[in-house]
Amino acid sequence: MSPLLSENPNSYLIIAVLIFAAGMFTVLTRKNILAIIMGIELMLNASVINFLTFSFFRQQTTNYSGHIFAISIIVLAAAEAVVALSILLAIFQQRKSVMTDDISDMKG
Amino acid sequence: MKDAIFIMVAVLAVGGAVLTAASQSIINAALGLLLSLMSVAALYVFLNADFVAISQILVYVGGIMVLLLFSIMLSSGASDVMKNNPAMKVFPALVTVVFFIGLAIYALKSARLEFFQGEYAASTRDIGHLFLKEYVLVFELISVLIVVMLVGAGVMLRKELVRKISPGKTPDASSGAPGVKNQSTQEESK
Repeated sequence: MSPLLSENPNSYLIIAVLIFAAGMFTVLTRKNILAIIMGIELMLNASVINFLTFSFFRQQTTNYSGHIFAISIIVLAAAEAVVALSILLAIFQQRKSVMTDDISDMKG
Repeated sequence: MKDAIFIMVAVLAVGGAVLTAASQSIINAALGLLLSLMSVAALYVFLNADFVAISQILVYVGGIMVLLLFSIMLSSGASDVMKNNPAMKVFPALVTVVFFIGLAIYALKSARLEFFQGEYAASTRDIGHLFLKEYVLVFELISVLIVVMLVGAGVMLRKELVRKISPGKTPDASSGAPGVKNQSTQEESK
């Protein structure tokens, strides 16, 4: 394996693990819905890094299937963010709060 | 030289993610996320994913970050939106995260995979061919998903829906303050 860090797949995978852990920490410790959405974005990004790493370091000839997964995840993240933020704004219009504690009841 | 740039980019990516996880102010967390997303786009370039890197910058930095900052500004009328008080104690969350990192590093250590590095080449043409030949179903599903997303976001923020859910919350619009009502109808007609 190459001595260069940038040509070693493990360095990319470790970066992905660290970013995923930061995202999970964000999701677990926050009460603000906006911060939770940010944590979800971080975790999705870590998964994209994994897909691209395994697409780049491989044994066969050139194959860009991993990039298809990556682009699908990016589009999915965009759709998820749009819907989540619109739900959040609808909640904020009635309850004047974006904290998960204040929106624990379904009607009222 | 390549390694120096790689280490710099990696530190920025992880540092931005840590800033998102650790900072109290929601604006600082969003800016950390911005830093992390842009650095991760640079990492994609190292992985011969030029098209994905540009898509990342266009979609995440240009779209999602603007949307997030917009929502933060719009919902700042809430009482304590500047503070993200923790939902659970930091210690259990740290234990969970450390367990996760340990598990992943153990998996990395124990996997005996022989990797070979691919060649650097432009990827856009091949991605286009893949999307229109092998993965055309994925392509169509993404289109349907975007349509559903647009309709869903529109439905979610309809005025009638919001008013129907909370009839008592906006007395000005329902019980007739004439100036307010005229103003809103004028804005709608524009």
